[in-house]
Amino acid sequence: MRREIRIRLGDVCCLAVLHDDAPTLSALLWDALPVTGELRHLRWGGEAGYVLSGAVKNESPPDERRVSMYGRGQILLRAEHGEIAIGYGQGQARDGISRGSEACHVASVVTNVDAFLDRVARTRRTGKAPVEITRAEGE
Amino acid sequence: MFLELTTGGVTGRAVLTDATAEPVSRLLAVLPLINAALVPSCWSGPACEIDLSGTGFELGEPGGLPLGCSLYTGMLMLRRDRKVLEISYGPAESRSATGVQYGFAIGRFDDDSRGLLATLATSHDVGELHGSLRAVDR
Repeated sequence: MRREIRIRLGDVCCLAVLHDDAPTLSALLWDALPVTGELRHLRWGGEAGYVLSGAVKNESPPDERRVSMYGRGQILLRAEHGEIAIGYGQGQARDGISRGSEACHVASVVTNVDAFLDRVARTRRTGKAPVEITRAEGE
Repeated sequence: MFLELTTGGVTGRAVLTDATAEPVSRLLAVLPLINAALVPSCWSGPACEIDLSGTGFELGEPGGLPLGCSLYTGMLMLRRDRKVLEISYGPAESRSATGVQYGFAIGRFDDDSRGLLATLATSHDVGELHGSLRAVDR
């Protein structure tokens, strides 16, 4: 069954579809919902925002849809860090400790793409914004 | 000669490296104040960037100063194209989307500038800051 999630960032919403070929990590995210927090812009990894949640942490994540580069509209899970990132342009799985690493491309934004990703991009200049990720069921 | 940066009502003072002190101070003597946005870096880590385009800041290549990419806390890095100034508030590395980029370490904030660096660190939460940069004799 197609699993969709709703992401509300400030006053902008989108739907994203979970990728079934990342069975363990998409289930980790699905089971963790709802996730709420504050989305900040990456400092090391380029054009993406991120939110941290202990509910999506997995110290030894399996190799599922592993990527080191982020693309526009991708939802990326770095389960080792409990980090959910949303790419709006060129990005990388990096931080100040591990530098180059990898993430699971766990979902993709499918509705309201431009407006939503513009809102993610704006966090670089306007600062953190409240984010809520929930299951989109029966919509 | 020093560079003074003020943002959010907090001022810090950077000591210029010898190789750049003279050309930078000569330039800033006729350009006493630069008002600019301090935009959080998205590739270099804990740092902010000032876009010098349009400010009148046109410095030639600082002679005798080696290129570097390491941004220790409080350093000022002038990118090689001399259009962007990066200021680190933690251990950082000058980078772009395609990898490490090299520039000139033109100065470093002194120990009395911790308040300024703490203010710069808030940019990770609040986004861009606005500041002013000027040269001072002491």
